[in-house]
Amino acid sequence: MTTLDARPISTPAPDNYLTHTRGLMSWVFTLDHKRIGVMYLFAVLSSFFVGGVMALLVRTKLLFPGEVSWMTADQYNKAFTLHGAIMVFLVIIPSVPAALGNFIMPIMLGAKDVAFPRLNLFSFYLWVLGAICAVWSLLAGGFDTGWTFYTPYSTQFSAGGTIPVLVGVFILGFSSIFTGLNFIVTIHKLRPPGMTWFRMPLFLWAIYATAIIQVLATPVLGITVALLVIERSFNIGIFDPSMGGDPVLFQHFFWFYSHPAVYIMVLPGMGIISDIIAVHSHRHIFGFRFIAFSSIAIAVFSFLVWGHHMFTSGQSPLMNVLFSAITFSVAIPSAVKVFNWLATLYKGSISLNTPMLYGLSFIFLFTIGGLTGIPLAVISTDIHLHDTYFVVAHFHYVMMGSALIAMIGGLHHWWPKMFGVMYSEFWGRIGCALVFVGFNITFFSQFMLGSQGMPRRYYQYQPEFQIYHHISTGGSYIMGLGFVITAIYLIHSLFAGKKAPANPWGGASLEWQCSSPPPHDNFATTPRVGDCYDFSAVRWDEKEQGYVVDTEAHIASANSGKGH
Amino acid sequence: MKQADTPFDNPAARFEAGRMGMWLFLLVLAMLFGATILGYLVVRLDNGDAFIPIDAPSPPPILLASTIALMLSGFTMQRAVHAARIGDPRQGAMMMATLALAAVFLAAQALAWRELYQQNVTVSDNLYGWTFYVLTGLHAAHVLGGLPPMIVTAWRASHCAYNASNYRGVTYCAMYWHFLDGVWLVLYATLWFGSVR
Amino acid sequence: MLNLIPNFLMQAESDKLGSAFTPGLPNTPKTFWLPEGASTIASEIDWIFNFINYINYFFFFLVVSIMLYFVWKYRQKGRDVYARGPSHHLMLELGWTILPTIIVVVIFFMGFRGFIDMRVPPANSYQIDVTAQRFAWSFKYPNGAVSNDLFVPAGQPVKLIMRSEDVLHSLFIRDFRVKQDVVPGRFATLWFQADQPTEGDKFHWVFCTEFCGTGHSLMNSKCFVLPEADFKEWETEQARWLDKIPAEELYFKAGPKLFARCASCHTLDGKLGTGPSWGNYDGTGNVWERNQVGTSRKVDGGKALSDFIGPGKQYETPEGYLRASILNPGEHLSDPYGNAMPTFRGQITDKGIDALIGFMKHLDEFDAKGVWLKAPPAAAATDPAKPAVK
Repeated sequence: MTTLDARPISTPAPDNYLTHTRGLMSWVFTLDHKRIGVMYLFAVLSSFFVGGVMALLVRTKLLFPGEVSWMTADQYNKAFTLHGAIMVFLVIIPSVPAALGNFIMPIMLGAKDVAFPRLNLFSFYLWVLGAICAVWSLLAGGFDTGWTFYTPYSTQFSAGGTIPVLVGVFILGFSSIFTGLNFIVTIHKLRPPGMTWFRMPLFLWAIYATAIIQVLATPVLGITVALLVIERSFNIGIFDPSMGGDPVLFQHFFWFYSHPAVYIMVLPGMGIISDIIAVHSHRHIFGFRFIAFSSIAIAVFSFLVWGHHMFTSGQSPLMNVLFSAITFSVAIPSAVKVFNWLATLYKGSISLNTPMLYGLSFIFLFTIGGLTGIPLAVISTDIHLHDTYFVVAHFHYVMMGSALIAMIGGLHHWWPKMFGVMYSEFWGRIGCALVFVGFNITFFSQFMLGSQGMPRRYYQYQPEFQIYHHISTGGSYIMGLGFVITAIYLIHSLFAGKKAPANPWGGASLEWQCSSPPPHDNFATTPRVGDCYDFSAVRWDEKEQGYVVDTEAHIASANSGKGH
Repeated sequence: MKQADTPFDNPAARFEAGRMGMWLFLLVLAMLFGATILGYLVVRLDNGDAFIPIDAPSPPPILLASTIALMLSGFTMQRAVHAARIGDPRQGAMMMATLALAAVFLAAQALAWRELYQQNVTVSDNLYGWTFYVLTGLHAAHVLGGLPPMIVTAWRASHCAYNASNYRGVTYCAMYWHFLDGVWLVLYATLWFGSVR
Repeated sequence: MLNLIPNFLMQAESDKLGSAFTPGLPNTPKTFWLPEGASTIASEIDWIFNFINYINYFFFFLVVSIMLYFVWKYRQKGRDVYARGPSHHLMLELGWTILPTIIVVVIFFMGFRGFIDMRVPPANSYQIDVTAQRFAWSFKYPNGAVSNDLFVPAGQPVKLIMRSEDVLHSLFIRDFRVKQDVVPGRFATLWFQADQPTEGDKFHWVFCTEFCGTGHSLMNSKCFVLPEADFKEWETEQARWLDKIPAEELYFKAGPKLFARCASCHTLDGKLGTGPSWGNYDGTGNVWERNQVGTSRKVDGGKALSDFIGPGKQYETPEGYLRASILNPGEHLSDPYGNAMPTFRGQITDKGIDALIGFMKHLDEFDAKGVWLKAPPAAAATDPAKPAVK
C-alpha cells in the first residue's frame, strides 16, 4: 500500500479533473474547486501581466527627470494608479487564497470540494465583473487618484473613470469576502477525521487567518467606496470638508481595511513558505504552534494598527503614539516566523529546487521588508519618510518581494500537481535568480531615494535623484526579463513538460498523495491523516521517479509521536 | 451532466455548514452597517448642533409604522420556521405574511422619504438629509436584496416543501431577516437621537 | 539612553559658550542615507534613524548568514534522506519572541521622545501663514508680505499655519525632517528652527508629498534661511515690492515674478498644460491676441470669446475679461479646460493684475521660461526673488 487512495500511482488515473468533462461550458459552469482555481490563476496572472507593463512604463518614464513627449503627467498619474489598483485588487489579494488556495486547500483537507461550490464560482464571476469595471473605467477616461482614493481629490477633481473603478473595487471586495467566508466554513467543517487543528498544514492556518481578515475588514472598504460613489455623484457626503464632513474619516475607514489587507496579501504567502521550507528541507517544521499562533496574532494585531498610515495626517498626537506602539506588536510574530523558518533549515536535508529558491528569496526579502518597517513605525522617523520612495520600497518588499514571490514559489511548488507536468528546473532557477536580483536592484535603490527625500507619485523630479532612478529602472528590466522567462518555460511545460509524479518533492501532506493532476473528486474515500510535517515514511521510488509515502508507517509514526 | 453542488455527504452536516456560512455573512453585514453608523456618529458629533439645519423637520412619524411592520414580519418569519420544522402547511401562509409586511415596511419607508422631500430635505443640500437618505436607503437596499430568496422560499413553502428533515432555506431566510430587524432598530435609534438638538 | 545623542552634548556645549559666540547648531552633511540636516531636530531624528539602521543591519546579516550557512551545511546529499532536526524547543522560541519585544519597546520610546519634541512649538515662534492650492504654495508673513518661496529667519523657531483651498496636500521640507498634511477645512501646524543661513544659491526644497493631481510633482518651492537682519529687510521689501516699481516697468519687473505662480499650469510656448497656454498655439495667437480679437476657443459651452468682450457685452475690454479670469476663474471656462484654477482674490493686488496683463501683452519680449529678453546682461543675473545675502 503506497497511497491512501487505492489507485496505483504509476499508472495515472484514467480520468483527471482536466479531462473529466470537455468543452468550454464544462469550464464556464464548473463547480469543481480545481477548475475554478485554474481559472482564477489564469485571470490573476493575466492581470499581473497588465499591471507589470504599467510598472515598466512608469519606471521607463522615471529614467528622465523632466517631461517626456510620450507620456504626459496625467498619463503618468493614471499609469501608476492603474498599476497599484490592478496589483492590489486584481492580483495580490486573490492570488494566493483564490487561485492556489482554491486548488490546494480542499485536497490538503482530503475533501471533495470547498463547503459552498456555487458560492465559489459566484466569487470568481464577481472577480471577472470587477475586472470589467476596471476596463470600463479606462474607457471612461481612466482614474488618477492613486490606489488609495483619498478624498476630496477623488470626489472633486479626479478623472472620469473614478466611479466605475470604485464600483469595481466594491464588487471585488465582495468576491474576496465570499472566498474568505467559504474557506472558513470549509476548514471548520471539512477537516477529515484525525486532522486536528494542530495537524493541519500551516498553509491552511495562514489561509484561515487570512479569511478572518477578509470577512471582517473588507465590508468596511465596501461601504467606504460606496459612500464615496454617492458623495461623488451628489457632490456632498460625510467626507466632504466644505459641508462639515471629514476627509480624514475616509483615511481611517480606508486604512481600517487596507492595513489588514496587507496581511491578506502576505499571510497566505507565509503559509506557503512554511510548507515549502519544510518539504524541501525534508524535515519537520520547527515550532509548528509558534508559527500557527503567530498567523492568528498577526491577523488580530492587523486590525489595531491602521493609524500608522496617518502619522502626518493631523490625527491627535495621542492616537499617533498609541498606533505607533501597537504597530510594533506586529513585528514580533513576524520575527518569530522568520526565526522558526531558519530553525527548520537546521539539520535539514535541503534541496535547492526552484520552489525552495523562491522560499529562500522570501526569507531574504521579507527580512528587509520587515526591518525597514521599523523606521516607519517610529513616529519621528516616519515623519521624514512618510510618502517618500522609502515607503514605496518598503511595501514593495512586503507586497511583491514577499507576497508575490511566495505566490510564484507556491505556483512552482504545486505546478506539477496542478497540471501533471514538470517545468525545466534549469530555466526555473535562472528565472528565479533574475527576478531576485532584478527585484533587489529595483527596490533597494528606492530606499535611498526615499530617505534622501524624493516624494512618491512624482512625474518630474530634481536631477540629483536621477542616478537612483536609473539603477531602479535597470533593475526593473532585469526583473521583467525574469518573469518573461518564467512565463515561457511554464507555458512550454504545459505542452512539452515531462510527466510529473504524484509526489515530486517528497511532501507528506495529503495533496501529494493523490495523482498529478488530481482526479475529479480528489479522493475516492476519505483519506487517513498523519502528521503532514513528518517525513519519516517518505521514500524515493526509482520506478515512479518521485517520492511515495508509506501510509501505515506515516500514521503509526504520527500516533506514536515519533518522527520528530 | 449534473455536478455535485456540495461536498457534504450528510444533510445535517450541510445544514450546519450553511448556518455557519450565514452567521459569517451576517458578521460581514454587521461590519458594514457598523462602519456606516460610526461614520454618521463622527460627523454628527464633530458638527454638534450645527449638523441640524435650523428649519429641519425631525424624522417622520411614519417611521414608527414601518418599525412595527418590520417587527411583526420578524414574528411571522419565526412562525414560518416553526411551521417548517414540523412540516406544518401553515409555513406558506406565514412566509406570505412576512413578505406582505416587508412590502408594508418598504412602502412606509418610501412615504417617509417623500414626506421629508416635500419638506425640502434633499440628499444634496446638507449632511442632515444626506445621512438620513443614505442610512435608511442602505437598509432598504438590504431588505430589497433579501426579497428574491424570500420569494423563492415562500413559493416553496406554499407547496409545503419544508419539513423536519429539510428546513434549510427557511432557516437561512429567518437569520437574515432577524438581522435586518435588529439593524433597523439600531439605525432608527441612531437617527432619532441624531436629530435631537 | 537619549543622553548618548552626540548632538545633545553639542547643544549643551554651545549653550555654555553663550549665544553671542555661537551661530547655533551646525548643519549635518548629506550622508549615504540621509540628506543634509538643517534644522534643530534633524540631528536627533537622524540619530534614531541610524540607530534603527544599525539594528537592522545586524539582524539582516544575522538572518541571511544563518540561512546561507544552513543551506550549505545541510544541503541534500542523495535523494533518500529524511532529516531528523528537532521539531520545537520552547525556551529557544520564547527567547526569540521576547528579545524582539524588548528591542521594539526600546525603539518605540526613543521615537516617542523625538515625536514630542517635534510637535510642541516654542512660544516665541515666528508665524507664517501657508496656503496650499493646486499646484503651488503661497506664504504670507505677519507684515502682509506674500511670497511663493519660503523665507525664514535663522536661529528662530518658525511656526507654519497651513490651510488648503482644495484637496489634501502635504508640506515636506526634507532638510528639516518635517512634514505635515494639509487637510481642507482644518488648520495644520508645523514648526522648525533652522540655525544656519542658506548661502549663495543654496536653498532647502519644499515638496508637496500628498498626491494632488496633474501638477503634483511641480508643487514645490524653495526655502531660504536668512540671517535675522537680512530677513527683516527682505520682509519689509517684500511687502512693498510692487509699489516701488514704476507702472511702465511693471510688466518686465513684476510680470515674470508673478508668472512663476502661474507656471505650474500655464506655459508660454504653446504647450498644453493643466490650463490653456498663454503663448501661440493652434493658430489663434497668444493669450492677449486671442482676447483682443475674440475669435479663440469656445468658452462657456460653445460661445466664443467675442460674445463676452466688447462694447455693451459682459466685459468692455479684454483687460476686464482677463481680470475676471484671475479673480473668478470658474465664471467663464474655456473649452476643453475644466474648473481647475483656484481664485486669486485677496492674493493679488490690482497692480499685480496690471503687471500680469502687461506681461501677456508683451509676451514676444520673453523666452519660454518667462525671462525678459531685453534685459541688460548684468540685470538679468540677479534673481529678483531673492535679495543678495550679505
